[in-house]
Amino acid sequence: MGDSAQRIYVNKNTEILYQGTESAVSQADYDVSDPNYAYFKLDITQWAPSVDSNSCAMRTSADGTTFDTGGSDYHYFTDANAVTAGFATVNFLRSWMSLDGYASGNAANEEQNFSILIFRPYISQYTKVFALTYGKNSSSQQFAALSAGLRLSAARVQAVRIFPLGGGTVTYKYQLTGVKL
Amino acid sequence: MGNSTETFNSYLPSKPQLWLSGTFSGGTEQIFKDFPSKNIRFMNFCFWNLAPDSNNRQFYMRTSSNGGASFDNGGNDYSYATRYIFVASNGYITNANNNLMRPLFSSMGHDANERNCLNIMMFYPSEGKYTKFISNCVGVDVSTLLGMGYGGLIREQAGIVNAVRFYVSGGNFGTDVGYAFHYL
Repeated sequence: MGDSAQRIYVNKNTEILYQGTESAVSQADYDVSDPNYAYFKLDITQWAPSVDSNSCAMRTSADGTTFDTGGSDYHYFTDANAVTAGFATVNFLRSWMSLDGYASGNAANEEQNFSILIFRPYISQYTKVFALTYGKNSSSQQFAALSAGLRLSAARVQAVRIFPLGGGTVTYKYQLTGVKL
Repeated sequence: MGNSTETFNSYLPSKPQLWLSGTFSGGTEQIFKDFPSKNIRFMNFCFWNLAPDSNNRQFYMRTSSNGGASFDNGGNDYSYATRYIFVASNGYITNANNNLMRPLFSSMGHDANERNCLNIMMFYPSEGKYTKFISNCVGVDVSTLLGMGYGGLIREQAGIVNAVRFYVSGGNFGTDVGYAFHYL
């Protein structure tokens, strides 16, 4: 299109809430407590953990400070496809939700990118997330995945935590967007 | 970073404009017509707390090119290729010509925690070509276990789409189904 007149739809119904860079952090928390959003979209780019064969994981908090860590607090699926590994599905009850099937590596160019939808965390239901992942995995193979995650108890979720499941630290860029009701 | 969103290769446009939001309870169908523009390039239908009022129902969708006066229901009016995953198995892939579209996995339940979230992206319905959709859903099935679905769906005839109809495979919708629709 290239015509500035075509860009008139930019408005305040979608708001960028936070954006920036996390540098060598072991975890990062994001506030999703505002009731005025239908859903939140957390975009993560250039996810680069310090430890190999790692994963981008998520936990949730009902009070904004304490995050659920019970062994079956979450259920997640991941459909993953990589050049040499092929197509695979994982299905786990865990104390976290993995968003990439444990495929992140720590070498240069093994960065992953995520677009994560967090559906209406304000209502007291099983909170649900959906994630699209793409990049290169820990074998430096082209990689894409779709994941669905579920918090297995009904409550309003006020914050989410992102962390490298295999330990160490991680560096990435992020943007949290709220889509208003 | 600056204020640009262009560094993010998101699969969802970053600046949609709100058309409708709210909740509904019950009813055999929900029809949304009178689109906010005649030049819609993209529309995103987001539902949460979605459930039927009885067990083992499915969520269906049809389109209209006459403003909702009628909805396409011919046997080959639509096609879809979708994948559904359940706890009991690694799921299955389904593709079909049909008289409806199935954007969500089957086996919806209606208990308090058996609720579903769903995003349906509709691409360029005002273009007058085969209108295409992508669905992403995550929910809790009739066994109160995680379910996931995603896929592509298409209206198999050229023409504008200016109304959509959502309904369940039998009975009514449950209570307090939330929705927010955005467009470009």
